[in-house]
Order: sequence, then structure tokens, then C-alpha cells
Amino acid sequence: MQHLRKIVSAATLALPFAFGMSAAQAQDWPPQSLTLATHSSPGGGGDIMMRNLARTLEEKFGVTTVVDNRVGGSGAVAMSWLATQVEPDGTTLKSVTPTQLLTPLRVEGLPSYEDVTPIARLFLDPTTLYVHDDSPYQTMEEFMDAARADPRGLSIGIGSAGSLDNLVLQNFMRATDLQFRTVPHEGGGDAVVALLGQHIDAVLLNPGQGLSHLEAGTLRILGVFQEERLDAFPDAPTLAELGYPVISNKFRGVFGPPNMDRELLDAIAAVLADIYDDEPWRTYWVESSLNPAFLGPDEFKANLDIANEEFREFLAGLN
Amino acid sequence: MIEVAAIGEAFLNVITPYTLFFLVLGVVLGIVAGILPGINGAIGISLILPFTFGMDPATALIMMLGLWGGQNFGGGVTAALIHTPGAASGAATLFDSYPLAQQGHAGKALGLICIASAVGWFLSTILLAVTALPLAAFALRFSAAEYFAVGIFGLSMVASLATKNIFKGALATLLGLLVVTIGTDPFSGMPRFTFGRFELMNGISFLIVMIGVFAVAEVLVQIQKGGATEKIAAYSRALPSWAEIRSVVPTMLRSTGIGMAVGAAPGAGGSIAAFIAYNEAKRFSKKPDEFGRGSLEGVAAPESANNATEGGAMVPLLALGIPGSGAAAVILAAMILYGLRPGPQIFTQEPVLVYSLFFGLALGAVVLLIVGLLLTPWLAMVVRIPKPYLLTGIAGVSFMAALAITGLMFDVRLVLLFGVLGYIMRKLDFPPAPMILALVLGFMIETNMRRALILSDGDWSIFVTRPISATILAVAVLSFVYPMLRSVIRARRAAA
Repeated sequence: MQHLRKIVSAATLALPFAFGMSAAQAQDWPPQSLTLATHSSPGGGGDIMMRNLARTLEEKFGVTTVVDNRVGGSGAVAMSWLATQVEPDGTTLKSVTPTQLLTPLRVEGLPSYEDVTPIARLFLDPTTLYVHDDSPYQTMEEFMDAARADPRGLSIGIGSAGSLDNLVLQNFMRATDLQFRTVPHEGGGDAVVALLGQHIDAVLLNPGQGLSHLEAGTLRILGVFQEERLDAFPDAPTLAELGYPVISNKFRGVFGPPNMDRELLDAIAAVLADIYDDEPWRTYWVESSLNPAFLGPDEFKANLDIANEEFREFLAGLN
Repeated sequence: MIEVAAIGEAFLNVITPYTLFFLVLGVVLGIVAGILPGINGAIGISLILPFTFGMDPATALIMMLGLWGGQNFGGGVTAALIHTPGAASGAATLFDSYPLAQQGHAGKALGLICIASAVGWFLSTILLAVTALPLAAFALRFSAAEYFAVGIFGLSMVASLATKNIFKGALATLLGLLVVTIGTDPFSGMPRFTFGRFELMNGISFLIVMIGVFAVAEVLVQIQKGGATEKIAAYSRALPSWAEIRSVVPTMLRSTGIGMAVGAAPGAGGSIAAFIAYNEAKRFSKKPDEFGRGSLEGVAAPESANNATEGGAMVPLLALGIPGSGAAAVILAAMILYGLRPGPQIFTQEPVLVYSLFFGLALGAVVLLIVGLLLTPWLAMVVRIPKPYLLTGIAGVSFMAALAITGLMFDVRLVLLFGVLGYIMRKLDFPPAPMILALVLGFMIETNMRRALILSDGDWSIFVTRPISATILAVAVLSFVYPMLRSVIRARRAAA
């Protein structure tokens, strides 16, 4: 299967390869053939990111790429593979989200971010709270007042239990001293369905999950859990503006295998830092409401160290 | 809403040789993907996705929809021929199509699978075109309590799947529900019964269990039987007759409705629809005793239903922008790559595209009918392969399929484990079907029950105070009790 997929993808990409070789020769990276792996299944968040990255690198450098879905074990299959079976020659990158930190904290003995090489943080995925258009709550203040008047009276849907959104919701409840009923679903799409049917009062998700409804006005953003307001929804205040500095750290980045050469690492980071305005990469992150938030190898590692401690406390609190 | 100009333009778009070529290619690739174990609709579509860049979006999407429909048929083919569904949606098809093929009617079984698939696909497309927006609105009324009720309704079929011994059927069901608890607790995110193995964190795929319990167990049983040189005595590649096709028309219509409704509800897929349709076919049948022994209705019902889920799944995909299955998720991702934004407004913003998809789907069903019936006599020859070669092949394909699903040797060992379990169950006369049913439905029942109880803050009455949930649960109780009552009444009558 894996081989079949590679052959098919390679055949697809042979054409641009033949015509665009010269552009790549000035660079150390990317190499002529690049594998972009992800723990997401086809159509999932990491998969869509890597497919867009693949096309962007193909068009810019004329290289051939393969997207390799290593699905399973809540990301553990892909991480084990990256930590033990991949050559550190810069031909293989893997997408990373908070899942790659959370899973090794749940199960002992799995490779963590410390067993591979963090290369770059690319984006922060904004977390927002949104309600149905028919909801009586027009603003975040009204929503919070209602929760204060009736503890546990309001329900907030999240994509899945133990996820980063779950952590943000927990931090939100702590900071505001409010009580909500947390309703986990089988993914953000299911939570949006529940909100559209008005079976829950709000969802805590990234805006991409309900984008067409947010744009059409059937759903409405009340608040944003990041440092600045969203360009696409400038009316929704940040939680910090309301006096509660609750920030979500839903990063999207790439890892490489262990023992990568320092110069290679910097070369990859330099290329990734420089493609935000290339297409289709730009369309991808603008349409998905992602915030470009580039961090190079060292800063990303330091950021992961902090996030890992926060996740550890969060998971300990769940038990 | 209905714009004649847009409909006309869409029709002209679709009947160009360019689009038709890719539609036929999509259907053929879909049949191949369905036959190859481990390649389901989602994987097949993501494999062709890179080829479609640069195509007109409507053509690319129509090719993907063709592949999706084709693989539902392909999954049924392997179910009939080698007792292994090539795709999850073919799970319920094997109960009757395999016995039918073993009785020498391989052509009839495959022909019926093809016709039922095409009918379910075609009719669901028409239903989709007519009812997409209202149906999407209705599906939104389903909350956790309703999904729980649907799951319980599905589980009530155990009573009719295990006709011989309801006690053994119930035990097999419990075994299936036990296997479902392995994985990650959906409400704490912590591993549950994984025995420290990360391979088990996503749970055990029901396809792994099915391949073991049906295909590997069948190989073990056949080996023990011996008779290596014996071939199927009366072998016929003949397609079903007109009279036979006519006899299953009501079943196909009913199953299409079931598939459409189940597909439209996000979170329930082709395999669940196929099981429910199979059970309803049996309940409405004049000859329920033939089910499990090669009933034509038993072949047609699941195949019409699983193809109809495609039309159903297009409802939330187009009208709400929400994928109801893995294949729908890949198609949604493709639409976003093409700059399309599914949601209620797509019907007014991109009417030509939407109508093109409807025409593409409808034509895809016709293509499947033609291609499928042309292929059927050739595919049917599989059953003439001498037993030693066939059994070796099935065993090889089974393990390869397990490896293809996740790429883990761990899953290959699981298939072997479930193969042995399936063999023991066969020897002790425990029906494997209820176990599979529990595996298909268990997760949906658990998560929705727990979610409903969060929504009601622990009040169990939520399941009976909501009208839709209460109705479905009442029907579930009836459908559980009815087969038992019927046998009691018959026994009384016979005695009197």
C-alpha cells in the first residue's frame, strides 16, 4: 500500500519535475525528492497542511514530493517511525500539532518531541468561542453573565476530550471562575453540527471548522483566545481585552528525524520562513484563518518545553 | 432555487466526452479500489487527488464521486466471492451473497450486487437533488439522544441475525461491545484497555475483526473439510433474470431510503446503513427463512443501502459543509483546494457546479451498471479456482489487507487472533454477525449515550422525553421482540 501510494504520487509529479529542475539548484534544501509525512488521515488538518506545503514547494522549487499518511495511535505511529526509521538527511519532514506532545504524556515509553528534531513552528491555529445566530447572547460579556447566573447551565462543545481545546476551555473556566458543561465530540465538525442544531450553547473551536457558517452569519464568534483579534472577524474581542488573558497555543509546525545536521536544519527553516507569500500556501493559511507564527529550531524547542509542562499539568488534572 | 439555465449548463458540462471519460475512469478505479482490500473510498480518492489538479473542478469532483460509488460495488464483489468484504460498506453483503455464489450462482450474486448498487446510487441522487436542504435541516434535529437511539435500533437486529440461539447471539454481541471499549476513552482522552500498546490507542478497526472472523476463519474451516479437488458443482455465470430483479425492487427502494437517511446523518456510514437495510429486508420479506442462505433480497438490500449513503452523505457535505464520512472528508478537502466553500450558500453561489455534481452522480450510477455487468461474468470465474489455490490466496489477501489498513505488523497478528476466535465461534455455533454489528455500532452508542447524559446533566429521561429518540427506541424494542414472538406464535399454531 505505502509503496503503491508512493509510486502513484511520484508518477503524478514527474511532469513538473522535468520542467522545473533549474530553480532548485541554487538551494541546499529542498532536495529533488521530498517526503512530507503526517499523522492525519487524508482530509485531516495535518494532511491538508502537508498537501498544500507539497504543492507550494513543487511550484517554487520544481521538486517532487510525496505526502505520507502514517495514521494511528493518536500520532504515536508517525512519531515512532520518525524517531527510529528516518534518515536525518532532510528528505523527510513530519507535521506536528499539540497531539504530538499530548500522546507521549498519556502513554509511557513513546517517543516525544525530545527524541526527534523540532525544525520550525509555522502557524498558530486560533481558538474561538462561537454561538448560533439565534443565541440570546450577543457578546462575550452576556454569555459570561448568563454562566455566572446559572453555573453549569451552559454547555460548550469541543472537538475531542483531552485535546488542546479542552485545555483552553479549562483555563478559561479557571480564569473566569465560571462553570460550563464540557461536551466532547468526535471531531470539530460534529461539534459544529451540534451547534447548528442548537443542542449545545457554544463551541470552542478554530474558526475554520465553521467558516462557511461564520461568513454566512448562521454562527457568530463571541471571543478569540489569542493575543490579537482575527483579521477575518475584527469585531470579536480577545479574552485579554475582557480582562482574562487566556491564550491558546495550538501550534502547527514540522519535525525532522533525530540527529539532524545544524546547517541543514537552518537551511530548511530559512526556506519555510520564506514561503508565506507563495501560492497555494498563502491561500491555504488565509482561508484557514491561521496566524503565521514562525519560530526557528531553537525558539520552537524552547516553546515546546514550556507547552509540554503545561500539558503535563493539564493531563494530571484530568485523572 | 431551481434555475433552468444553470441546470441546462450543468447538463451540457457533464455530457462532454472529457467529463464522461473521467467519470468512467473514476468508476473503474473505484471498482478496483473496492476489490483491493485495505483501500477504501477515502484512500482511493486521496490517491487520485493529485491527478486532478488542473482539471475543471466539476470534472475532478465527478471523477471522485464516481470512484466513491464504484468502490461500494467492488467491496461487495469480494464479499460474495471470497467471504471478505473489500471495503467496510460490503460487510453486510457477505451474509447472503457468499452462500449464493457457493451454490453455483456467482453470476447472479454479482449481477444483483451491481444492479442494487446502481439503483441505490441513482435513486439517492434524485432524492439528494430534490431534498438536500430540507433533509439537512431535519438531520440537524438529531442530537446525541437520537444517535444513541439509532444505535440501539441497529443493535436490536441481533434478534434476527441470531435466529438459532438468541442467547449465543447476545453473548457474541457482548463480546463485540467489549472489543469496542479498547482504545481511547472518548470523554477523558485517556487510553483504555490498551495493555500499554500504542497500536491499540485508536481501538481495533472492525475491518480487522471482520477479516479475521470471516475470511481467515472460513479458510480454517475449509481446510479441515478437505476435498481439495472438489469444485463447485453447478457453476453458472448467468446474470439474474428479469423476474428475479423484479422480485427485489421493493427491497431496493426501501434500502435506498434507509441508506439515504443514514448517510445524511453525519457520523453514521455505509456499513451501518447496510446492516439496518439487511435487517429491514428480512423483516418485510415473505421468505425470511432464506436469509443467510442466499436470499436475493439479502444481497440487494445492503448494496442498495450502502450506495445510497453516498447521496445521503452529500447532503451534509453540500448543505452544511460537514463531512459525514472519511470519503466525504477527502472530497471536502478537495473542494476547499479548488476554492469552493460548501455550505447553504453554495446552492445559490455555485448552482452550475452543484447541478453538475447531481448529473455526474446520476450518470455514474448508469456507468456502474454497464461496467459492472460487463465485468460480472469474468469476476464470477474466481469461484472456479481450485480450492487449494483459492484458500491460499484468501489467506494471503487477508493478511495483506491487514497490513494495508495501518501498515502495522501488530494488526496482522490481530487478524490471526480473530481468525482463530472466529474458527472457535463457528465450531461452537456462535454467530459472528452480531459481534460485527456490535463493533460497528458500539462506539456510536457509547459516545452518544454519554454525551446525551452530559447535555441532560445526568438525567436519564432525556432518551424518552425527546420525541424522535423515544419513537426510535420504541421501534427498537419492537424489532427486538418481534422475531422471538413470531417464532413462539408459529410454534403455537403448529401445535394447534
